[in-house]
Amino acid sequence: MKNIMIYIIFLFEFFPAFSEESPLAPVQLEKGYICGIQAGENIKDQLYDGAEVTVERAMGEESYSLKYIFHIQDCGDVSATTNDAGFISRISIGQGKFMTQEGARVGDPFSRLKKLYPEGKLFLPEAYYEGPEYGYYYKIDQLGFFEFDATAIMEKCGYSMDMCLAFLDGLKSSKFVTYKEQNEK
Amino acid sequence: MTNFTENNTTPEVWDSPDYPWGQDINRDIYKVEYDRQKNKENTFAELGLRLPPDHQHSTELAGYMRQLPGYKQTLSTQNTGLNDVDNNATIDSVSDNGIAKEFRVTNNDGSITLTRERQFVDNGIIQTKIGRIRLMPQDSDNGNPSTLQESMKNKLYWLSEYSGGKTVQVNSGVRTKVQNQWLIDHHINAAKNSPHLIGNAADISIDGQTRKLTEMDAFNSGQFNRVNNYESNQGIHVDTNPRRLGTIGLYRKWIAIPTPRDKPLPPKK
Repeated sequence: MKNIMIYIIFLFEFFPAFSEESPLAPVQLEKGYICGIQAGENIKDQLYDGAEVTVERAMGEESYSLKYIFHIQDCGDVSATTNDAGFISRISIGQGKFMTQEGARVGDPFSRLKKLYPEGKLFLPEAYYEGPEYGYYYKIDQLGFFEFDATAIMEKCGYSMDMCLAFLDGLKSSKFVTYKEQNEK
Repeated sequence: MTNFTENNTTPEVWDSPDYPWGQDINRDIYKVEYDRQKNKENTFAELGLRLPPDHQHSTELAGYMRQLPGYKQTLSTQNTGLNDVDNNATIDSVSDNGIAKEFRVTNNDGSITLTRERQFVDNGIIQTKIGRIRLMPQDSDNGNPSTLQESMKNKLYWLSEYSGGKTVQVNSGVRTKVQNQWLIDHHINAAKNSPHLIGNAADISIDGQTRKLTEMDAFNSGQFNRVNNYESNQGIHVDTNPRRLGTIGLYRKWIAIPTPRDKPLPPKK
């Protein structure tokens, strides 16, 4: 037992990437790119032999589309949604393993993201997409956005958006989403 | 993110614990009734009960007090910015068509709060009804606030009045073709022939109300042909498109409630 504990301490001490709070987590969250998946590429390019993929139906405003969840080794689950032509338009990740160039990652509280990206803007979704029941997203133009699930605090703040904002600073981001702008090459 | 406590409540004299009794006898009369109704609303809210339909809301009485001479016009700051609270929000414009007054206030986050005060005579007594709409900034339009057609705006004012003067928040109103395409391109799955394109629809939530309650208020207000609860972030979709045959106009995730097959069979002859 003692040996196991020493081994775990050794792992966290010398390989900080294993630690959730590690400052040395690799940079993998970029505009239109997460963990080897690139927005704008054809979904067929990712569907090679041996790729572990789950396909789900995602509800839209009046129609459905397909969502591909890639189970990538050393990375976790990365979701990709495609447009009608089969090109990846949106990618998301719900784990805090990786970070952006500035050091932001999934699981960071809103106050930290605001400090790292003061130019970001907070929005409410304006059309249906599969997200939390109640939530906001903090959009950073050069990256994408971080999503916040406010479902748990809605009751606490009386279903009032303004009141809920008082609790938002401490709320942890639940997802990082990125995409490719149409005018980007 | 600033405080949302005492500093952010309505800065009206009748809400103050140090209300100056005896200064204005007319206001005092309203104040007594205002406190009574406010207590009733709080008690009902604590018990999770709906107010009776004939309940005279405290916001209505506040409206009367605003009509009294000597009232200093200040708008409540409760509907201010999403990113920052604007404690000094000023009225951008006031329009008065003789029937109703409309105040327009721009908040710090770029959202716009519209307040309509209208008067009508009921049994010889002048009544004031207040409706509030908050147009939220839209990601698809570089953060500009959502827009509404006049007819939809009036319907949402009615809904706000029906909900006791609570703010109806518009997440999406009229969408241009460019905006709709932006949403599709960003895979937000907007409908290609969305009723938002012709201004017949709005995606709303009501401040301080659960989604279920908002859905029922929108349906019971009788202002909309179709009410759909997405049961997700977008809120409640309301529009004036004709409803599907055999449905009552209430949907959840676009499944009719009750479904046509739930209809009881006709009695046997």
